Amino acid sequence: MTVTFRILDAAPGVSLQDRGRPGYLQYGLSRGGAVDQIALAEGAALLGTEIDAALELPGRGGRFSVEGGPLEFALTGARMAARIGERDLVWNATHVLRPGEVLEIGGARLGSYGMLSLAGVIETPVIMGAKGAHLRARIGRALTAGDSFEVGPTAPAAPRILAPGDRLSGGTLRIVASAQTALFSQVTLDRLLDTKFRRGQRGNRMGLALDHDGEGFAADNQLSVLSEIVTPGDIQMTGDGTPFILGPECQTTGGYPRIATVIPSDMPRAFQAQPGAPLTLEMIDLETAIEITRQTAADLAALGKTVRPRLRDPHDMADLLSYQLISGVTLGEPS
Amino acid sequence: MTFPMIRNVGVTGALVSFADTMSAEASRAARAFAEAVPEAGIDGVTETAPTLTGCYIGLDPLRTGYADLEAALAALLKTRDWLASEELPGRHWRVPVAFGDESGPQLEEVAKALGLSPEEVVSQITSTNLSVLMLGFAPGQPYLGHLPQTLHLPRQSGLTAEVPAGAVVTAIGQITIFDAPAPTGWRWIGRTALPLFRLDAGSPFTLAPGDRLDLIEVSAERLAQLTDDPMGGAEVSGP
Repeated sequence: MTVTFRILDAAPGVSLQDRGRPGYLQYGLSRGGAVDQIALAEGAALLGTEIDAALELPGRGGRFSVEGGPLEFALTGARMAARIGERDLVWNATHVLRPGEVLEIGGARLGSYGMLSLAGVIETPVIMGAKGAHLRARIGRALTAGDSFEVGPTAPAAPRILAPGDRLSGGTLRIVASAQTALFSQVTLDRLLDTKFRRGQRGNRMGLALDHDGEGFAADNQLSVLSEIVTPGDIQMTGDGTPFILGPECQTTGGYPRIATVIPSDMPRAFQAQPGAPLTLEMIDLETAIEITRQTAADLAALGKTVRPRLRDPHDMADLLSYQLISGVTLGEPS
Repeated sequence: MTFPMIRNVGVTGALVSFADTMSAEASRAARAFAEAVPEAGIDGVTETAPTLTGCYIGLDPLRTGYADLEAALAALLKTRDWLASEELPGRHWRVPVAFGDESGPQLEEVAKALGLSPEEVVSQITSTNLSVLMLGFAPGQPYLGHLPQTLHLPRQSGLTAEVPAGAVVTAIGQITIFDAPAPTGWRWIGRTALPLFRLDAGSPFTLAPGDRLDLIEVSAERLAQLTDDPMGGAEVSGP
């Protein structure tokens, strides 16, 4: 039995995302996948499901409905204004959408990418091993009004919530020296680590710009650098000296030199930063970075343990009148 | 710098480099090493990708630490003189390309900059047996080389806003082909109907690193007919 999840309206760039398609670097295809892999894992943990594909909402969500039965869903990542009818929906929590209702998800109040996870398996083609779209490579596409898909739902359970750490406000990104770090002078590297950056206006799944006041950054002999492999997290120095953190849909090769690489654990923090949010870079050694990567994987695997029951607001309870809240009534006379 | 070098790429890979300038030897070393890594059975390796002068080796940091990967790669590097590698067998493509005029509006400009006639430029390109040195920029997009020194030109200082799907462009001793419209700093000299990335094909990527290509000059009229062919008139054989 499936239900039909329908897109009534979607912001530009709303797309299904999952863990991406690793293993195609030699063919020129970057891994892709949700920009905030933590939000993807949190959604699945809240719903008690395996990670399938979820809707990534850049900046704004849209309006959604369901037919054929109720559908539980979770909201994670950037906090957005969300409601069903008059009810405002708590973020980082599960809710249920019923036939006849409209789920409205508006603009992000904090963070850049919201995530709408559905409790069930989304029936959508598996292309090269994954369901998520790779917009730059034209695998799949952004979702738009009129799109729908069948979801094989799990039965809604008692509402749940989790409390993520704040990764939506920018902050410090830990980086490691990487293959081309030696092309840059120590002076340039020191200046990079001292600079107070702001997440730039330019940013999408391919990467985001780091704005700052002051001189640009460049390698010695920048123009004669050969095209070399490029990976998400690499901090690339573009022609005008602006550092660019490469994202999941970045190209796989590039001729602009890379000064260092943001560790995977801090990529959600980088991409969730809103334009103008403060970002600074902290260099750590490779062994520490690998330890942190392993710890993050362990934390994500254990997310289910951090999920808590959510006390229900009576307004949420459509079937309130069927509950017997008080049992036993006295006449009030002293015995 | 002494070569070969091994450096980490973030926490998820290593880059083995055989040179810092392009050469046929470095490309052969890169391809040979990329082929050898999977056979070496190193724990935690997720993928390999040959590049112009080296090879990227992907690492699963949950399985293996970088130090262990680096040691295993260093040991593999010691087993032979990689720069002396022979060309490995590969598939051989013959790919129709229309040059000049509307198919390649910058052919004359390229010829002039090189001090050759357009015909000589085309003749030198079509008589070079090109290799897929690596794929990048877009899925399935080949960096083809090496062109003879007589054809070497730097990238443009500015970008051409858009070249069309099928554009054949050249710079820095290489040729690449765009599967979809894109901006570029390379010079547009020809056009082909060879598809590079098709999700409805058996294998989505037409070309692989190490494939050999001969570009066959055809007229613009012939190219227009070939766009009806699913492979754009290209033929493949071998290895």
